[in-house]
Amino acid sequence: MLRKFILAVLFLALAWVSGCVSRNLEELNPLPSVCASDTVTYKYSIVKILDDNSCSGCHADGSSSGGVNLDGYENVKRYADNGKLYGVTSHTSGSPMPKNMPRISQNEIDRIQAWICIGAPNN
Amino acid sequence: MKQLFTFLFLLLCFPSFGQEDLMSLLDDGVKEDAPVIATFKAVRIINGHSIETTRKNHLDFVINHRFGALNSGYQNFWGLDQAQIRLGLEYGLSKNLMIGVGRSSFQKVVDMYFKYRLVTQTESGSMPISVALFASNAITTVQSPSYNDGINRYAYTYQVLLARKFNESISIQLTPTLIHRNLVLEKSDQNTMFSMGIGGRFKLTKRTSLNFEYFWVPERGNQVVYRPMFSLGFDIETGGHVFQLHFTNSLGMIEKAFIAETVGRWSKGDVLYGFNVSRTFSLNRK
Repeated sequence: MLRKFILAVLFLALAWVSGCVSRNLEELNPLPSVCASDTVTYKYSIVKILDDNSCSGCHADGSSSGGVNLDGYENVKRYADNGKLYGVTSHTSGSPMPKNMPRISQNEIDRIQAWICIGAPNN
Repeated sequence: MKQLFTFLFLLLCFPSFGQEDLMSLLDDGVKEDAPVIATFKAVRIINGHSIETTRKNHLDFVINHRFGALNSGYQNFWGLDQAQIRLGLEYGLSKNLMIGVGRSSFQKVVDMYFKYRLVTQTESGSMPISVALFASNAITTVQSPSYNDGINRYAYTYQVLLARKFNESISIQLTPTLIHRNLVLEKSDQNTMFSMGIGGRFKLTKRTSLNFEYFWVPERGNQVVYRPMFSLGFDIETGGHVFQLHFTNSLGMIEKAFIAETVGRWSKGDVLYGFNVSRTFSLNRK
């Protein structure tokens, strides 16, 4: 029994070898680094991300799922400015999107964040 | 909920008198401390681990698959257009100790784990439950500034698996769980959280059984609302393999994902169809 106990303790200790910290993304806030990006444009980056991830399919004129319309720059800009676009796509606030699908890639989230960071221009 | 789990735990500890009577009728010469076998038919109940371990010197190649949600509509063929996969290898180092490694497409996570069966339930009732310990380390491989410090990529899970086979048809398992995630999304979330799971197997025929699994999680005050994981499964045993079909509200197939990060709701139709299949290779030297 003692042998089993020692083995169990060793076994539990093994998994901690990689190190343990308690951090959260809100406090890490990688915003400053992505703000430096000047390669993100509404026309070639944001529209593509919205199309690639079926956002435009459900949130369009005439089929605004959840009352959210992402048709055209003005509409997208509204959700960029009120924080909802970043919140729901990064799963940090609001209802996680795309609905019932995995979170969009970190690279796409970073590009949305960078675009918002430079003022969400119609570029 | 806590009272319910306390009650179930006490229930697990009671000896099964019916089983003893049956055994004495069938075979008076049964070995006093013969271990109870096949509490569950696979090393997983559905998403979570059962007290079973891979046989010594056997290598299991495991494929876990989850389709999209049933409520994603005909455009997505009710979820079948989307798929997440986890590929894994599991190996039995000894009769009671197994190790495993896997890689999930969901969140691009590599997970490694040990499972050690500490005690085994006996037919005589001298040991009323089986106990196993499980520990895993999950490492996300996503490229992002958030992971510039590599330590943020790690998450750990510890479980004590307490199971009892009540009779030939019914097995129940309680799974107290501790999860630590080095990085969480929100400040209000818990890096270290406790959860309690319950799972069970109801044998239908010689080769089939119905399984269920539920993991309670604490309220964490997040803007992203995480929910308990609930799954229903149907196991088919086919010549040494177990083919597990199930419905679940979790896209993740490893502990830190399906316990700590489930967002789907059964009541809203966020139900995903999935299956686990495995192929066993014996590495015993003849």
